[in-house]
Amino acid sequence: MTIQKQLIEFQKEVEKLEDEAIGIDDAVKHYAKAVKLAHSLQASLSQVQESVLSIQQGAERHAAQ
Amino acid sequence: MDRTLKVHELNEYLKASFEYDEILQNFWLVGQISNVKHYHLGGQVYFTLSDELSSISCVMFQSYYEKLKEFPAQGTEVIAKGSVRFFNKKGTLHFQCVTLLKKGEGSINAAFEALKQKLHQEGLFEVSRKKNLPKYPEAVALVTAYDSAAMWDVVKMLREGASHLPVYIVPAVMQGANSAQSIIEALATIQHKARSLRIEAVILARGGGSGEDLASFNDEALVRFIAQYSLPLVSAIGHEVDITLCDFVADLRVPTPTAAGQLFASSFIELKSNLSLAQSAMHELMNQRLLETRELIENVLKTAHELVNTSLQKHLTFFEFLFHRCKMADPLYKLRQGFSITRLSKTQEIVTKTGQINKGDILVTQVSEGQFLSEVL
Repeated sequence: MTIQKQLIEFQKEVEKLEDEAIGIDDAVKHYAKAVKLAHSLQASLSQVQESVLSIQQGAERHAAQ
Repeated sequence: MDRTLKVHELNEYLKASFEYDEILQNFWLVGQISNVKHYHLGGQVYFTLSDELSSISCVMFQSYYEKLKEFPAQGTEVIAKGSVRFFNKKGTLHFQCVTLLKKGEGSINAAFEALKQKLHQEGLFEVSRKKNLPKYPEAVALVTAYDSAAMWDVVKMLREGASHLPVYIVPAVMQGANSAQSIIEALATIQHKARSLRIEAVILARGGGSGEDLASFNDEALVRFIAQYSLPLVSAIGHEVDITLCDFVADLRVPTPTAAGQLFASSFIELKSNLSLAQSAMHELMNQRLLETRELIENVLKTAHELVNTSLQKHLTFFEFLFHRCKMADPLYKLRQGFSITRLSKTQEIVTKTGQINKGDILVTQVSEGQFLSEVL
């Protein structure tokens, strides 16, 4: 799943949590799901950050040659 | 129209008129020598040539005079080669002599001229007959006396400038009665071997000598053999002033054997120089391309990095914003603030109104850390 899609899903879960009509039990379930999504997103974003860093280092190495 | 000239203008005109008149250039003049005067300071010799009707002042400069074995005595009948010159400073006219032969020698020269004329009329010296010399021959042959100065002059020049070029030396007798036949045989041998040895040009070389020494190179049979020769031939006989019939019939005449070596060596020297220049230019071009490509790659990487990084930062910001909202919506967050959740123990129904509970009901109250039971009194 792309980061974009994961973010949309995460956003939906957060919005459900923020719904005043939600019961505490449902809130707990949605919160758990939201936290799981957040962890997954964090991992994906870290991977992208590493790739970006790698590109930057490649460019720097090329410039130094 | 009347015209007024200054003296120097007239003399300059006369000088030019004589020098541009082809009839007065490089011809033979027969006469008797008299009034010989040597000028030791300048080295020139002034004399008069006369016949029974007329006489003319003559001059021979040191560089030509030195080539004579001896200057003919007064009264000698001579044949002189030279050109008419007008000396504009003093307004005098002289026959400027470059070669001087006694009358007996003159008959040899007359024979030379007659043969030259005959062969010329037959078209043997025509420029259209001359073969082009290869600029970069695969191999050359040299006809000369073995171990002679001429041979080493040619070899030295070729070794210096074109050391890779194979040079096949075919010895021949270069003066005397059998010389012309020996040269013909040497040339024939080269022609026979030319294809297998890849010989593409021939040098006929001999050092300087007297007219008698060089007589073989005026041999009619040799000249005719060269005229029908299949390979391009360079004549390098004697010194610059020595002209033989072989020079006329050859595809190219060079003044000395050294010049013949230089002729082929210089082509290869020029080629090497051009190759070196081309190599430098290519190297420079490749470096330039490399730099351009490197710059392009750097720009692409930079742009890619910027694009990805910008997109990532947007996602990170949005994620952090959502994550903050998520934390704020954490059901346990309120409990940590001191709120609690109370349920009916029996049904686990959350108590939000007092009407839901009755006396004796057991309630379960959940706080931030743990839960406790209570009874409705």
